[in-house]
Amino acid sequence: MSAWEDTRAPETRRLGAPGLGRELEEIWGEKPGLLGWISSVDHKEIGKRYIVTAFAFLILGGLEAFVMRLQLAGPELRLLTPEAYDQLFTMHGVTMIFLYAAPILSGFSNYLWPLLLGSRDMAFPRLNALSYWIYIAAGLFLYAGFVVGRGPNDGWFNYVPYADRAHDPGINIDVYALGLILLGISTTVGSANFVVTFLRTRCPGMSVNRVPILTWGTLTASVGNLLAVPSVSLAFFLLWMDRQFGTHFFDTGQGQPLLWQHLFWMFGHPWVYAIVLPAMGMVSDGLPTFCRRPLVGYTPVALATVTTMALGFGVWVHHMFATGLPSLSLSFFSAASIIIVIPSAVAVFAWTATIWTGRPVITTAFLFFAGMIVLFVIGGVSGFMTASAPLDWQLTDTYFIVAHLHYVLIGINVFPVVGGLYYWFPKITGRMLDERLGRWNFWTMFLGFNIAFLPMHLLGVLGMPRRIYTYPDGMGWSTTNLIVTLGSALFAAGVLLLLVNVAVSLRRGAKASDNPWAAPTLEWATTSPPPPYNFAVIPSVASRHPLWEARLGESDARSRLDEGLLLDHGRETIATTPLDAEPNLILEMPPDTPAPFLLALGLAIIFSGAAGHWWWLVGLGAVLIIVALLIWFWPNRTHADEPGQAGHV
Amino acid sequence: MSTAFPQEHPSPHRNRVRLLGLLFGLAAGPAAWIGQMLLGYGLSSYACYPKDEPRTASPPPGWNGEQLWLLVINLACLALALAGLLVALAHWRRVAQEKAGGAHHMLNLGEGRARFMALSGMLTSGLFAATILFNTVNILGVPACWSIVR
Repeated sequence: MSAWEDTRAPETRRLGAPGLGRELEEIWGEKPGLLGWISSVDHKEIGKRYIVTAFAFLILGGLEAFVMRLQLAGPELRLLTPEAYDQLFTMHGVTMIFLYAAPILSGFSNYLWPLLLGSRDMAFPRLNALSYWIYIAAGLFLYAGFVVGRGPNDGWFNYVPYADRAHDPGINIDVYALGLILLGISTTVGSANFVVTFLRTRCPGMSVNRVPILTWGTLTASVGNLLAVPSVSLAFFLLWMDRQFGTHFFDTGQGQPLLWQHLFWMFGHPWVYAIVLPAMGMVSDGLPTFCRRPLVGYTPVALATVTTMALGFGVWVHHMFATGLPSLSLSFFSAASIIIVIPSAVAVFAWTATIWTGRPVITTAFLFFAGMIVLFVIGGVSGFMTASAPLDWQLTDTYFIVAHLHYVLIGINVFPVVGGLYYWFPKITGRMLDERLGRWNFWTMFLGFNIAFLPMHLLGVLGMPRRIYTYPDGMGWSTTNLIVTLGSALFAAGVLLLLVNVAVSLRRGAKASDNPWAAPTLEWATTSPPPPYNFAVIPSVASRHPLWEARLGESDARSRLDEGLLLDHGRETIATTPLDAEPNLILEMPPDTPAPFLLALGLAIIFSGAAGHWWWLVGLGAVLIIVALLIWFWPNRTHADEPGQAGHV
Repeated sequence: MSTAFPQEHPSPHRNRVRLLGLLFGLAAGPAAWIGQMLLGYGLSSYACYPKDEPRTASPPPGWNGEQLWLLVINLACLALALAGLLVALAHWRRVAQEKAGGAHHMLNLGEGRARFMALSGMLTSGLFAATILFNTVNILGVPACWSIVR
C-alpha cells in the first residue's frame, strides 16, 4: 500500500446508485488466463488457495498417520521398516504442524479479515501473495526429499545429537532445515501483513474494542510468530552450518546440544498457541450466531487471547523437564504452564455461558464448535497435568503426550476449522453445505477421534513410548492399539464425508443468501460470494454487531452500511487510526503482478541449490529474485500522473 | 470527516486519560513477569551450573546470596506489576462511565475504547502479578539444585 500526500475529499455514495459497482468491478477484477491467476493479489483468491492447499496437506498427513496406525494395529507387524516409520512420523508431524495447522488459519484469516474489518484488501496485497507462494514452495521442497526416501527422519522437533551429521549423514535433515527456513519467510511476511492490516485498515468506527475475536486471535498469533520464528530459523541455520560446514553450535564435543532444545521450544510452544488462538477466535465469533446472542464476556475473551500468547512465551522449558535442569529453574516454567490455564479457561467459560444463556440452533457448524469445547477441556486438563514437573517425568515421551497433543491440535484446530468451513462456506462459494451429510460428518469425526485418541492416554500410563515402530506381544498394549487404529479409520471416514459434502455442495448445494445464518458481523453485509472489491462503499460501524443493532437495542447508535466512502479512483481503501479507527488517509493499493510468484520461485531455486551445494543454481535464483524485485517496485505511473487522486481524509 | 464516521466517537472520554498511562497499565505486568522469569531462570541455573558441570557441594557455594537477589528481583517485579494495576485502576475510575453500563456491561460488550483498555490493564496486571507471586513462593519452597538427572 502507499499513501498520497495530496489532499482530496473522497466522495460518499449511497448503495443502489446507478453504475455503482461496474467501475469497481473493472478496477478490482482479476485478469483472465494463467498469467492473471498467477498475478492475482486479491485476498479472497489467496485465502481460498491457502485453504485448498492446507486441506491437501491435511489429507497427506492423515494418510501418513493412517499407515502408521496400520503398522501399530497389532504387535510385531512389519508393514513398514524402522527407517520408513521414522520418515513417516516425522513427515506426519511436519505436515500437520507446519503445512496444515498454521496455513489453514492464514487461509481463513486472509479470506475473512478485510470482510470482517470493512476494508477492500489486506494492507500489503503483494506480500500476501508472496506469503502463499513461498508456503507452497516450502511444502513442495519438504516433500521432494520425502518422495525420494530422503525426507526428514528425526521427529518434528529434530533433536540433536540424533540430527547431527555423525548420526544422520543423509540429506534428510538438511532438507528439513532449509525447508523450515524457507517456510519461516512465508510466515514472517504474512504475519507482518496481518499486524499492519489490523492497525491501519479497519473501517471507520471499528475501534479496537469492536473487532471480532477472530481478528484478535490472528493478530496475537501474528505478533507471536514475528517474535518466535527467528528463533527456529536461526536454530535450523546453525544446524545446517554444523552439518555442512563443520561449525560446532550443537555438537556434543564443543557445542551445546541443549541449546537446540531451547531455541526450538522458544519457537515451538508459542507456535502451538499461534495455531490454536485464531481457531478459538472462529468459535468465539461463530458460536454466538447460532446461540442468537452476543458472546458472553467479550472483553475477558479478547484479553485472554492476548495473555495466553504472552504467557505462551514463558512455558517453553516444560518440554525440557526431563533434561536435568535444576528444579528451581524448572519451577518458573511449571508455574507459567499452570497459570496459563486461567486465560484458557476464561474462553471455555465464556463459550459455555453463551450456549447456556442463548437459544442454540443446532447446525453442523454449531456441533463442531461445541465439540471443540469438549475436546479443549480434555486436552487442557492433560496439559495441566504435564505442567507439573514430577508428573511430566513419568509421562514424557509416552503415548499420553501423543494423546494430549492430538486433543489440543485436532480438538482446537481441526474441529473449529471444519466448523468454520460449514459457517463460512456459503460466503466463500455462494452455496450451502449439506446439513444432513454434515451431521454424519460431525458424529463420525467426533466419535472416531475420541475412540482413536482417548485410549492413548491409557497406553501412555501403561508405559508405551511414542515413536516406536512396533512393539512385542505380551506388553498389554495390543487390544488398545487395535481400538486406536479402528477409531482412526472412523475419523478418516468422517474427513472423507466432509470432502464428499464439499464436492457435492459446490455443484448442487442450495444457493446461499447474503446472510444465511442471520449473523452479526460485516462479512455478511456483502454478497455471497463477495465482489472483487468487497464493499461498494466503505461501511462505518457504531458497535461490535453492525447487523444485530436493531435486534439487540444495546444503544441508539446505528452503523452505516448503505452509505459511505466510494473510493473509485483506482484500487483504493481507507486508512484509519490504530485505536479508534478514525479515517485519516486514502491508501492506494497495488495492481496484480507476477512478481510475488517469481520471487518465491527464485527463493525456492536458491534453497534447492543450497541443499545440493549447486552454487550456480543459487546464483540463478538470485538473478530471478532481482528481476522479481524490479517488477515489484517498478513505479506505477497511473496515479502519479493524476495529482490529487488520493490523499488525506 | 462526518459523513464517514458513525454518530458517536468510539471513545468519547479519551481526553480524560493519557495514552501512555493506559499502555503502562497494559504492559507493566507482562514486562515485569518476563524480567522476573528471565533473570530468575538465569540466576537460579547459574547457581547450580556455573559452568558446564553442576556444582557438587551442598548447599552450593554462593547460593545464599543468589537466593537473596532472586527474592529482591521478584519483589521488584511484583511491585512493577502492582504499579501497572494501580495506574490502570486510576484510569478506569476516570473513564468508567464512558459508555452506558458499568463494569459488568463493559466486560460483556466492550463498548468505550478507553475504558476497554483501562479494564484490560487491570486484568492483565492482576494476572501477571499472581504469576510473579507464584514464582516467589517457588524460590522459598523449591530445592535449588535438585535435578532428576544425577
